[in-house]
This record gives sequence, structure tokens and C-alpha cells, in this order.
Amino acid sequence: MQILRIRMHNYRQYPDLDLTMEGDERDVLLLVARIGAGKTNLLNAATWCLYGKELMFDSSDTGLTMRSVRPVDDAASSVELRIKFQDGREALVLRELVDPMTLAPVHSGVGRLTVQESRSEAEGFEPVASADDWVKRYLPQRIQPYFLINAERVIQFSSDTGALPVQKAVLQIAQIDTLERLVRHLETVRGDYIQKLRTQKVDAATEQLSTQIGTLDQQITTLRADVDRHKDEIELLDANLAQNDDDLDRLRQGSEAISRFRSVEQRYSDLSVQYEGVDRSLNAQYAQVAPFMFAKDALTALAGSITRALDQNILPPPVSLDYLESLLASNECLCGCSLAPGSPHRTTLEELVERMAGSSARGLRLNELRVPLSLLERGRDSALSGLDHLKQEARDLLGELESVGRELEKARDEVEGLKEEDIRSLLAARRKAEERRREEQRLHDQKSYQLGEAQKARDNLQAELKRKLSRQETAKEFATAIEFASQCLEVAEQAYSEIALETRQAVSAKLRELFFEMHWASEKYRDVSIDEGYTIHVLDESGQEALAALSDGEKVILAIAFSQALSEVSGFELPMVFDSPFVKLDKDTKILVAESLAKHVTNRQLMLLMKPGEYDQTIEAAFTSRTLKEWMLVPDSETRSTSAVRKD
Amino acid sequence: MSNASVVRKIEQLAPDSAVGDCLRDLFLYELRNVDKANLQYKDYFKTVLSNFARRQDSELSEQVSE
Repeated sequence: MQILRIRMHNYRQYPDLDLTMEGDERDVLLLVARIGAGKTNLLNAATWCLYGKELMFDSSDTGLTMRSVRPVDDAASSVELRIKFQDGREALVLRELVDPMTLAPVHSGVGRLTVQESRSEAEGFEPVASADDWVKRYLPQRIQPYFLINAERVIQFSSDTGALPVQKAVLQIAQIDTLERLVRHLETVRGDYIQKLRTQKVDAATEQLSTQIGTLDQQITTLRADVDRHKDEIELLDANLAQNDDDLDRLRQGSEAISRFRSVEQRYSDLSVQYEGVDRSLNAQYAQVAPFMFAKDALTALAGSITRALDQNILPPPVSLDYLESLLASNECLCGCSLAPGSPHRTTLEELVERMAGSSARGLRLNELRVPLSLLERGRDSALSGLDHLKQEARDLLGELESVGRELEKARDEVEGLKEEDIRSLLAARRKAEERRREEQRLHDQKSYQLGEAQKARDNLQAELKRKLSRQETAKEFATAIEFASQCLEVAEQAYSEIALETRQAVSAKLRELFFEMHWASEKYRDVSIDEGYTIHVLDESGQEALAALSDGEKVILAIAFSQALSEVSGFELPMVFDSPFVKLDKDTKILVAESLAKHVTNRQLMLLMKPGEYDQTIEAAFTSRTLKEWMLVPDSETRSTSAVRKD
Repeated sequence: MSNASVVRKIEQLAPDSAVGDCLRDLFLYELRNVDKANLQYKDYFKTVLSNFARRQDSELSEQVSE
């Protein structure tokens, strides 16, 4: 890389500076200026242009203004670097001291960066999309220490601030900052996974859950068997009860038949009683009819006797009881009727005799018989009518009695074989069966509930186990990630250590070589090295630490040697810019340093910013093989500005 | 020293191995994504991790077939 041009406008003491270094990259730029003319501010300008922060000052800390005290115009302060890369690309890096939002000029700050790039000489410059990214990519800040070098500052690596800056510089040129970042990232990722893994450790819990599920499975199997057993029992009992129902139906039907039988039997009994009553009434009616019939017969026999007597022209015999009795007997009218004293027939005859005896003393006439006869006939007819009615009623009752009797026979057949004890036994068995069925149902429901609860518990545990197993699976993935990150870390850390070691050893060796090359009395020192703790050691001939006892000139030699060692070991062909490298060196040492620089800084641009006293012919002599381009920085005390004048 | 030398060093320390290959990928990712957030790095790590797992599976099956 080569810096072709530096332009500054209204920047510090440079109202309008234009340093052109176009030419061979092996050209050596010599820039000579008095104290305060602005040499160091050239470094500051280049650093600010690239990174937004000056090398020497932090204006935000010091309050110093970067804008010129007397600007030539109202334009914003700016610094522009024209850079050429080894592949032929060129870039214009411009930083303007403006407010990034309003673009109004300001006096200090980061300002606004723009970069234009040209792929080849034939092509024009085109702005890049992101200037900051471009700088980070092609000119990262970590390379700053070994191409923009202030000898006074570099010496602090070894004398003022201890080992840390040395370590930082060495590790920066080792380019393992990326590796270091990778290590940090890997450690973070591994830490994250370890943290996650802690929350996923569930091995013991899953085993416990599996055991619990196994126990529940056994319980479920037992309960399911119980439930099935109770179910079978219930089905059997239901079948028995159904059979029992049939039996009971049959018994109920039998019971109805018995009721029916009893009802018919009762009715038969009632009818029998009724019939007996009618029979008795019939007999009574007969008893009522008989005297009339007997009286009529007696009268009819008497009339026949009278008729016969008249036919024979004789007087009929007087009516007497004996006569009537003999008359009736002769006419066979007694029909077995008893004429014993007090009997109805005899009473009837007695009434007839009394009635007819009173009617005529002179003898009974036929016409006189007609009245009692008609009376008797009417009594007879009336009695017969009641008799017929009773006879009819008796017939009806008899018919009904026969019908009920048949029904009774049938009912008797139906209830034949039915025994009350059977029914009682069946009902008792049924009650027992129902009781047992209720008990079985209760047990079945109880076991079913327990089974349901056990299954529910098992399902919950199963779901929990599934979740835990899933977490366990995730834990395995995390463990794999941790193992992988650990393996990567191991290799990365080893690579980091080895590269750091190799770089430190290389820088240390180069530092030793250059220090002894530049020191006129190198025999005074036995060794120069950088130890494992990145501390620079300078051992005197007796082997004692002599770093603190180095003279200012020796410290400058050490600083230049260290910078050069860093630059060479880095492998980057970046320009080397030295600020006041020879100011504290005696003439002989200056020659040695200049010759060393000429010898070693061969393939890159070299810029030496010197005070007038530093620059003399010995410098020119040291770089005879190189083209020297000389500039003078000329300060104007009146305008407090500096301008550059090309000497050649 | 250069990034290439870092890659060479990784290959030297873990030659022909899944870890070496994955670490090289992670390093190149770091190099390309200087300003990427950690979260994005974690995503890329997962990608490399799955590549690593595939590679390991493949190596394992090769060993088994041998």
C-alpha cells in the first residue's frame, strides 16, 4: 500500500496543504519541519481521516479544536488521503469535519467519512456504499501501530506502560484478534448451552416417572381385571334376574289365576247361597200353592159328589170334614198331603167346611160352590204365578251356577301345581340376587372410578415423561453442542497460543537483530527479547536487566527496532511513517538507524518526518539506492499556518 | 502473519477432522462478519453444529462399513 497524496483543508495549522507522493512505492518521503510546524499533526490528520480519532490527541478529551484557527474559507475542515493498493486499486478517503446530521462545519469530532474507489487507472472513482465498512475491511485500525509510528510513543511500549501495549501490538500483528473473538464467541455459546443444559437435566426424574408409570400400569391391569370380573358377574346376575323376572311373571300370572279362581269360587258360593234362598222360596211357594190345589181338588170332588147325587135325585150328604176327607181319598186327591191336625191342608179343609156349613143348612148347592171355587182358583193362579217366577229364577241361577262351576274347574286346573312357598322362595332369591347385583354394581362402579383415576394419573405421568424425555433429547443436543464447542475451543485456543507464541518469538528475534544492528556498541548487551509475559528485556553483558537504564537514544533505537520488527513480522506491505526518529540520536547511531531502515524497509513506502537538525547528508547517504522526495513544512507565525514546499 | 496462517494453523492442529473443518468455517464466518451480533453468530454456530453432526454420522457409517 502506498499513500500517494495527503490533502488538508482548514485542518489545524494547515489552511490548505497538498502533499503529493506519486511515484514509485519505493520512494522515500522526507518531510522536514521545525518544532510546532505540524509534523505530528500530519500523523494525526492521517489517523483522524481513517478512524475519526487523532493518533496523539483525543480532541474530545483535550478540548482542542481540529479546525484551523484562521480558516481560509467557510468550508469545513477536511483531510483526504489518496491510497494505492498493490493490486492497482486506488481510493480517495475523505473525512470532513461536519455535523453528520446537518453537515454544518464543526470544530472537532468524528465528522463524516466518504470513500471513492477506482478499480484501475482507466476507470474513474466511484463512491463505495459504506465508507466505514470499507476502512474496516482494507485498513483496519489494528494495523495503525505499525505503519504510523511516533518514536516517542513507541518507546512507551517498553518503558512507561509496561507489557500490555507490547502484547497488544504483537497480538495485533499476529492477526489473531479474529481468532480471539471466535474463542470468546465459542466460550459464550458453550456457556449458554451449559446454562441451558442445567435446566434440562432430567435423567433421575424420568426414571422415577417411569417407575411410577410401571406401578400405575400394574394397578390399572389389576383394576381392569376387577372391573371385567364385576362386569361379568353383573351380566350373569342380570341374566339370572331376567330369568327370575320370567318366573315372577309366571307367578304373577298364577297369582292372577288364583285371584280369578277365588273370585269365581266366591261367586259360585254366592250363587249357591242365592240358589238355596230361591229354593227355599220355591218350597215355601209350593207350600202356599198346595192348600189351594188341595181345596180345589176337595171342592171339585165335592161338586162331583153333588152332581152325582143330583143325577140320582138324592140329597148330597152334608158337608163335613170327614166327608171331604173320604171324598178326597176316594178321588185320590190327597196326593200324599197330610191331613194331620194343624197341617195346612187340614186347616184349609177346616176353613172350607166352616164356610160352606154356614152358607146353607138345607143342603149344599152347586152354585154355592162356584164362589169359593173361583176364589180358590184366583189364589191358586196367584200362587202359581209366584211359583213360575221362582222356578225361572231358580233355573237361571242353576244355569249360572253350572257355568261358574265350569269356570271354577278351569281355574282350579290353572292353579294346580302352584305353591305359595315356591313364590316366596323365588322372591327371596330375587331379593338376594338384586342385593348382590347392587353390591356388584357398587364394586364395579368403584373399581371403574379407581381405574379411571389411575388411567388419568397414568396419562398425566405419561405426558410428563414425554415432556421430560423431550427435554432430555434437547439436553443431549445441548451436550453435543457443548462437546463440539469444547473441541473447537481446544483447537482454537491452541492455535491462538501457538500463533501468539510464534509471533512473539519472531518479533523478539527480529527486535534483537535490529537492535544490535542499529546499536554502535552492541557488545554492551547480551540479549534483547520479549518474554512470555510480553515484557521487553534488555540484558547487559553481565546478564542484568538494563531496560530502565537505557539512554534516550537507546530507547529510540529499541522503539524503531520494535516497530520495524512488528512491521516485518506482520507481512503487510504497509507504509512506515516515522515521526522524529533521529532527534535523540548521535550522528553515528543516526547513520546506523538510517542504514538499517534503508536495508530493511525495502518493499514499502517509507516516510520520515524530521526536524531540521535530524536531517543531514548522512540520511541522504543512507538512502542512496532510493529516490528521495523532500518537502519542507514552512510555518507562518503571522497567519499561524503551515504550507509545504517541495525541495526538489 | 495472516488470516491464511490462522487457517493453516487450524488445519495443522486438527487435520482431516470434522472439528477442524467446522472451526475453519467458524473462523471464516468471524472474519466476514466483524460487526455481526452475537445472536447471528449463535445461528451460524447451530448451522456448523448440524454440519458437524452430519459429518460425524457419515464418518461413523464409513467406519462401520469398513
